[in-house]
Amino acid sequence: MSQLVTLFRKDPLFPKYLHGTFSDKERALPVQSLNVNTEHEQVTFQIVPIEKIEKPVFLIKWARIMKLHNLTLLGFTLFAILIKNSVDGIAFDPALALLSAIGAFCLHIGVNLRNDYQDHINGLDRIHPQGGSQAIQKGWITAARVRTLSFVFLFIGIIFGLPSLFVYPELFILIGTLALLAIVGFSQYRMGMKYRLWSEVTIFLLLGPLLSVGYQYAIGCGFDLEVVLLGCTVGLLGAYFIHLKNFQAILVNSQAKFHNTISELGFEKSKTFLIAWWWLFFGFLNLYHYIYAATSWFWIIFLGSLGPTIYVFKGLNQLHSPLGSKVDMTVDKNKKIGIFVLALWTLEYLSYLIVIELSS
Amino acid sequence: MLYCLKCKALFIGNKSTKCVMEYKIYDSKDFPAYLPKLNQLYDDLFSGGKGFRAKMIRMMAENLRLDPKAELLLAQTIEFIHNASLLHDDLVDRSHLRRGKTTAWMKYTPEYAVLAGDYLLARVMVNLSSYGNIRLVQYTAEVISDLLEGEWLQDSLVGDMNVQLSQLDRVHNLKTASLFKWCLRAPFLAQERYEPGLHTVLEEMGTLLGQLFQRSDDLLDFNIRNYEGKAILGDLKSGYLNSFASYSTSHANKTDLRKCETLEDFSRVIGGQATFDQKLKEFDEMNLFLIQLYSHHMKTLETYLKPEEKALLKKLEPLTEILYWRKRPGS
Repeated sequence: MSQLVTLFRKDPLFPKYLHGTFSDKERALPVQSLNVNTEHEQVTFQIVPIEKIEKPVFLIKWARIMKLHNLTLLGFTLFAILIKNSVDGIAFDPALALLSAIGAFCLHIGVNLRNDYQDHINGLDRIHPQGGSQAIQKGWITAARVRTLSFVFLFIGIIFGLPSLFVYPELFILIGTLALLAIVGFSQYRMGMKYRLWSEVTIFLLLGPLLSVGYQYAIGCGFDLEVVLLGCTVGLLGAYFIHLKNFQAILVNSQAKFHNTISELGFEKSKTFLIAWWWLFFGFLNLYHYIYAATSWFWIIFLGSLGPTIYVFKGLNQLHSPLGSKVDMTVDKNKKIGIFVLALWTLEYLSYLIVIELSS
Repeated sequence: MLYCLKCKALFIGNKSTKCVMEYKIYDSKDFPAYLPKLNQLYDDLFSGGKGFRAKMIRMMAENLRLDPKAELLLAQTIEFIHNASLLHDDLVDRSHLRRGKTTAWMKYTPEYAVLAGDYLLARVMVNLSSYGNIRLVQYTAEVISDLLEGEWLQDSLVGDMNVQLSQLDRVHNLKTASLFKWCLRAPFLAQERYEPGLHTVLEEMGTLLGQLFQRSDDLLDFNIRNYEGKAILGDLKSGYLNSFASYSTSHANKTDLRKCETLEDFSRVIGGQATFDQKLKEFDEMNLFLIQLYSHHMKTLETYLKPEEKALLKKLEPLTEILYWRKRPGS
């Protein structure tokens, strides 16, 4: 028999159970929640001794907690900018490149952790039990520790970003814009960005042009239109992934009265919206390659992304209900298609790198 | 709890409690005499069924000392909604039999079945609004809308051999649990008792009862605790993966699953009889946790009850035994 505790949000013990600070030897796993994120919220916790909690091996556990798989787009952007500058023969400071990259990764991990913590406190992880890292819900780590870690990573991120700021003060403008967007995205609203209308614009800017242009400045290469276009393309893909996630959860979000672009559009119009968004990504991707890539790679990327584009179009059009395995499978396949296109693009940069190495 | 020899059904209450069939839930005088076919259809529909939900209302009403008129109104309301949903459900599922008789859409026409269901729901609103409790009317309308949403969503899951248990739970919460929640909450609303905490805990308990009832009902399809001798593998043969099937077939070959004709076929597809038994054991253990949760919520409910109402807890406690384990009273 498990030990169960039910607490209301107004109960003084509620924050302690939610943060996991009520005991050193036990974890409180939320098993049932009602009226989430309202003053009448009631959560039933299952009290489990720490030694009885099943955890994956150390590395997998921490990779899940920090959501390392979410760093793919960031990693790609930084990698692409470094290769692009090498190919173009634009000199950059390797030390600053490394420090800024570490800073960007730490900031991203810090934001991921903060997001998980915030979702747990607001109850969103109880509405979307399959979302996020699930590390807090499964008792691998307490919410209080996730919050502390998020501050640590954000702090390290800032420290590693400082050298570039001192060398290139014009970065303050970009950092200021990023900070403003981050404040708007994470602090002003009780809900996370996934649960707001037009959040895709913020995500597009944060993962896209602001990041790419910011890194380009941070390594001392100044403004470059190619980097803007590269950032826009990656930003569109990042926002597409968020839309897919929201599309998968459209029923849950609508029932919980969470408003984002997808839930506002409804199921049918969202399918058209997703197809249009993918076409936009496809357009930017191929425009970038038409202008800046080697002709052979333009055709490889064009043909390599055209097939999946038709597949995206067909797969989404075949969906008739927001519930069931077909939605999950379609979303999963669409994510893999995005990753496939990104992998193709990575291969392109690697080929340029090989050419540089061979010619030198 | 007693067992009625007349209608062959369980009912909750003491020896002085009447069986639900003695409730005048359905009276042909309530419906227009100039619509003979409608009356005939309702005669068929209401003659049968265990009336479990009406019995729940009676149990709640007795212990909350609800005015007899309100009790009858609530019992009628829940049975009308439930039977309307059956009329629609049978048509959507293209079922041929209901309670051992030809379904309404088959015996009459699909149009008549739809209209008869709609008419019952309309009567619910007419009767309830005359009672004058707007919160009760609003809550009932929400339940009806949940039922219909559940019906829509369930239809989209037919043929989906990869559906997840959590997705089925979502449908069952709308379709099945909403009526159990209503049975627990409506008597309090009728007494104008609106404490949010009370309704939150009743909502939780109703959700659990609905989930347990549905999962137990789904087990009947695999001849588990099938004391009433219901037809087996009906869901699977009609292309619908129910909760136990979804739980036990996550690694099974879906093409083979579609071809299952007997329970032996099913066991073979999921890996043999030992795997079937193991899956059943796990499924029961998972639901035991829900039963434990239900008992846990009873403690919270107790804090909202007046001293003279505490006897209700003893009546609510065995519901999980009846609904999930299908235990007969006294067994």
